[in-house]
Amino acid sequence: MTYTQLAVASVLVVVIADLWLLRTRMVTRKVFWTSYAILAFFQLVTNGMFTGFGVVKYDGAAIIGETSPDVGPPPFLGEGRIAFAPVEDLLFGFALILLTIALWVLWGRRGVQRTPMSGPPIWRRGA
Amino acid sequence: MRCAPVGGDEVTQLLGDDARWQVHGESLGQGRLSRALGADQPDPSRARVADWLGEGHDTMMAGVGSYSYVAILGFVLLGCLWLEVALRTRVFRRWKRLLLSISPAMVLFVVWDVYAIAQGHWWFDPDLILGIHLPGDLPLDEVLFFLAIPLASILTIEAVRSVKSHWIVGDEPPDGAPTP
Repeated sequence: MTYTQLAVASVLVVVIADLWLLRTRMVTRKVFWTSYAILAFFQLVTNGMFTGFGVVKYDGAAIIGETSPDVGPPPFLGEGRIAFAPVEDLLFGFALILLTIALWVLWGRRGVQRTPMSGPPIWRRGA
Repeated sequence: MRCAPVGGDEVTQLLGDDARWQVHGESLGQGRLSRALGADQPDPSRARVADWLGEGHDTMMAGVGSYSYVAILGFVLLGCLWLEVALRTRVFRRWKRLLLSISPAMVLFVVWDVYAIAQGHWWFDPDLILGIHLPGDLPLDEVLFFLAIPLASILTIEAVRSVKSHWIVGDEPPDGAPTP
């Protein structure tokens, strides 16, 4: 399978797990999508560092875009890339983030260290 | 692939007649360099020398070298660890739950990673990673990635909950009463 196929499949599998297997239903919750928006922004920054500096390189046969060049960064945007990284990385990241958070919430639902709950922020000490 | 080994002849061509190069801290003449890079020598340093000889070695992380990958992970941790203190996420105090959440995700994604590396979907610049490989040709750096990103994910959702305490996460106590 190509990276593109695996990336799409991983999102489908993890969303199915979240909705029907683990029944954590994170994709229906505002708290998840807010967290994902924050994480996705930082993913673009750090993934851009990994791919822009050439720490990790990709084979054009496995992704929508072209093979990473031997010298210099790949395209910043377009040609199947976003912030130097293959768009597939966004799907990869989404699957990893959703699976991790769904598992975290699953254990909480089952009473594994549900407490101490988070918050409040230090600036609301008196609240 | 950028690190295809080159034969001694190619290096000789690249060097020109009176080139002298620093190899492993020694200044070498062309003849010695050619011998050092002999074609029968399965030496990864040949690939590295080929990199030096390439125009504009493409690492902007030059000063960071083999710590480039983990330096970026350090940036990730810098971006999220403060939440534990400032937003009182209390994730590390729930370390068993943390480990139970990170490890299954890690196992699945490491399997994917090993498959992708074997298939050549992606590879790593050997100069920019630690150089420690686990079975399956998996760089240690990648294992650390699958610790850092799930940790950042959990810290982030608990940070959002800390600020938005009325938002339902799904793991609230059955009676709905907020726990101190």
